Amino acid sequence: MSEWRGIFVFIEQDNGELERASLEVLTRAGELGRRFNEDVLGVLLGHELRDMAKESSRYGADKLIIVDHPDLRHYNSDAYTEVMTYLVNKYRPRYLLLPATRNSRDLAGRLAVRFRACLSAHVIMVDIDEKDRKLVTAVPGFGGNIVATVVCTGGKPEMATVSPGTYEARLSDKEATVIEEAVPEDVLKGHRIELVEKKTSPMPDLSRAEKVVVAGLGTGGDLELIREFANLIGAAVGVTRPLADMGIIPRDYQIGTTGISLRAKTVFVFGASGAPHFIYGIRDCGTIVAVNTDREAPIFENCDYCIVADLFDLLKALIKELRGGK
Amino acid sequence: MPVTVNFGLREELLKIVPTLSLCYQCGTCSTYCPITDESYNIRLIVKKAQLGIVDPKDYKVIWDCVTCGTCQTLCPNNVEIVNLVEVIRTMAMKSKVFPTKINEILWKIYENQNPWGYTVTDKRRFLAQFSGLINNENPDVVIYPCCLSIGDPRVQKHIKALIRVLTKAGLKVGMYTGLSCCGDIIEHTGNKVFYEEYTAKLRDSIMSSVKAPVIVTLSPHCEYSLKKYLKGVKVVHYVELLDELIRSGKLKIDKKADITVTYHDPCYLSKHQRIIEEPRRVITSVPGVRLVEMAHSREKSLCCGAGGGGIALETRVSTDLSKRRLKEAIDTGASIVLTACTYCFRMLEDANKVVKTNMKVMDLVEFLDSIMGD
Amino acid sequence: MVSLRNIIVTMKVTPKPEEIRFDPVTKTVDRSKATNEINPADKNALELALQLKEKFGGRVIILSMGPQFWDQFLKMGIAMGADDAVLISDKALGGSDAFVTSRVLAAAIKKIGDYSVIITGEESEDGSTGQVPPGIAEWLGIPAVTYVSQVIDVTEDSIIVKRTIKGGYEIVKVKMPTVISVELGVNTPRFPDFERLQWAQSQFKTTVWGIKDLSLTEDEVGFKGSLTAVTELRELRPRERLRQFIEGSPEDIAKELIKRLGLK
Repeated sequence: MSEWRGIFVFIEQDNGELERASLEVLTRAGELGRRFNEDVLGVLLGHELRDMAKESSRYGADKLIIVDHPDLRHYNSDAYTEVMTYLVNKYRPRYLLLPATRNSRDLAGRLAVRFRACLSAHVIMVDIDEKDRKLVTAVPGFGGNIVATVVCTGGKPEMATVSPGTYEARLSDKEATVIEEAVPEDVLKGHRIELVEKKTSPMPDLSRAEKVVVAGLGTGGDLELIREFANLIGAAVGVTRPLADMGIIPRDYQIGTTGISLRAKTVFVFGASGAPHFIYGIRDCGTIVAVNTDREAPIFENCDYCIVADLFDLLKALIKELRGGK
Repeated sequence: MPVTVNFGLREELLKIVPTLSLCYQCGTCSTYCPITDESYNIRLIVKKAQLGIVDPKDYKVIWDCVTCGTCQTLCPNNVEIVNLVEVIRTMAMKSKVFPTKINEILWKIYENQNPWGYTVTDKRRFLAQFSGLINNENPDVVIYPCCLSIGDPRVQKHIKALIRVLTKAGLKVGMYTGLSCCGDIIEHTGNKVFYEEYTAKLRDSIMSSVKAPVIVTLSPHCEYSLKKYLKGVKVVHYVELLDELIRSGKLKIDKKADITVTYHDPCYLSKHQRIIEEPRRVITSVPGVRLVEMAHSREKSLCCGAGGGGIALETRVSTDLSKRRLKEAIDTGASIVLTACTYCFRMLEDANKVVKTNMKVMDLVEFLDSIMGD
Repeated sequence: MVSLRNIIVTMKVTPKPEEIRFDPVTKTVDRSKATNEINPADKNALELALQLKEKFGGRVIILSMGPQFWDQFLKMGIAMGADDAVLISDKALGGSDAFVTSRVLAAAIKKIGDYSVIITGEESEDGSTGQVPPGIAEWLGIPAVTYVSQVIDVTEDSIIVKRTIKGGYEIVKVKMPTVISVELGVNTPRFPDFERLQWAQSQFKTTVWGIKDLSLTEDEVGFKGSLTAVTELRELRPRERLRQFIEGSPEDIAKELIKRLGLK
């Protein structure tokens, strides 16, 4: 029975689009690999992978395992689980890290049971214990207000899905050796999930935006002035949960514990009361400017510049001033 | 058109609303109903109820009714028309023909004890504002705030104004800190069983925590509701209390105000409870104030659109009504439109934000407090 | 005419997150003063299940793993229209992590049997791991489709669903039996019928099973059976902010902000 060694990092892609959060996880894995003398193996499943393989090979991995097959072009829970199982059994990595995105969390959940392995979800810190080399993570819970330190008590590979934005993706000076794996045909047979239709539009990566303007319930869903202001200052637009609930903006733009955590230098919050789950999403930002008509709103306990005013009036004034007072 | 009478439904309805049989189709109701149009005619609905032929089309439009009660207040035979509307709503709920939003509202009341989804944190923040202002040890009177106040800073100012005015009249003022909704929306959207369970719990909570003989509300909806299921405590709206305090000389308004105001009768004061002259007496007790009436006032007052769940359901009619009413206020030439209901205030204030008039919308006690100053 | 068999809906009862208190002295989470509610995403799951039943037939069975007092919430589910409810309740289950939870629920589902589809919420509002739905599927050897926003159709052997992905959606056809996890907020959960609730409270009996009924041992559940352990808890303290109020007219404030933040 050979030992379990090495750090697998699942590099997520979907239909040719690389999930950039994977590169963050790769970078962190690279750091851990150096400290603990473990090989870092990136794992990329998909079809027509050349460009994505090239890109992902420069973020800290020692080796990059690629499995190129038409059946893997789009994420498919069954196919990906089978291929990953094959690879984990072949390489026996001690650790398996994935980004905490919808597809990767889905995959991780199955693999954890498949291997009877421990899995920490959407962690905001991942480390290895100096003494027993077990995976240690920080996991937010109860709406993000409480963080638990979670350790692995059994099972291999030791798994974690890492929240996007927890770590920075950094180019490494080393380039990973690419290993092309061909998966036995019977592994990819008998799938029960069939993709019928797919529609996506390019998404701005809010978690990496330097400036963000967030619209809260106080806007009533009217984002015209918000968008105008954001355009003028080169900012991305995000929303709080109630606005995503209203259905006018996709949930991909939602900031908070169940959405995106921002790491912007400047964030403007218009018309949000400052509920804890939202504050969690802006906690790491540089400067927070909040606008609300209620002086007692909790948002004012969590911002740098607090403005008690009608957000529409202020937006109009800002736009006018930015346009040169016209 | 020839119609087959459904005697079964007819008998059922007559049992719950016995006055139904008294309607002779004079048409007063639909004439004064603020939302009569091609799709909604209360006179026809009453006729259909008499024949037992209420149908799914009626289940759809019945949700537009704002339960203002103008119909039954003016009805020459006192037919309980609003009660009938609520019964039809119960039938609509059973047949699953109702706005989806009602599910949301009811779940919020069930889980947060208010239809807006205000949480324990919001309530704590609200109470923190009043910690130094209320006396719950041995109060003379306890304020029951409308649950909408929990998250509405402007309405919180009304409550503070009421506390100041009552204190000046020599009263010790407490507040019900449970901050639960009075149940008004549950009742008027036809959910009798939930209403009974909910108000039974609320009654216990109020009776065990309120130590004064009098509960005073800022919303006539709260007063109307609480009066029904609270026993052993007197429930009044603040206009009744202020009227009494002024007439007995305990509250004196010395400062003058050279201003023209108009007054919007909340339906749940003027129509459902016939409290009409009290607020007018309070307003005109301020020296120098000129009170002008709108085109529709007193029992014929035009509803602001909030009742019957309108404020939460945000139906097509409710916002239209608030704008219509605001226009009537502007037409009087007054500088301020006063009202004495948390819902009416919110509806008119929101309409004012959209229409952007020069008129100010104020709650009556807010106005009084501003005149009285320190 | 397509007809579904059992539609099993998992339900978790969770404390309202903002009512949780963290005790900095004992470093533990105090749930005692928090009010409990049905995990919001599970309400969406149950609503989806009931809509499926209305269209395609079947029996909706609520399945839950938790303490006895959760029964009142299962009864709310019955009042919403579910046909039956099963509660797995056992002292040995205390401290179970997501791995154990998915195993226990899978065992119960196997025991209930005859299922076409298992519907869960995407994640719970307390642990929010989101691991249980794919975990259950893996234990049962069936497919799982997560983050579903609606059901498009049901055929003889498959269910066609819309799934939310980054920047859009997928429409996916999956063979039954399958697990579906439902996104939070994709539908409006119906309010319970209170007459049915009163009937449920007086007449309906929830089926209660312990781990022995599921042929599981104490070592396989609870703290012992879990593969993760919490060693420390702390409150997430947001960093100190300036909290500087800027007053004035909108024009004054706008000028001040643009200056301070270098926006021009």
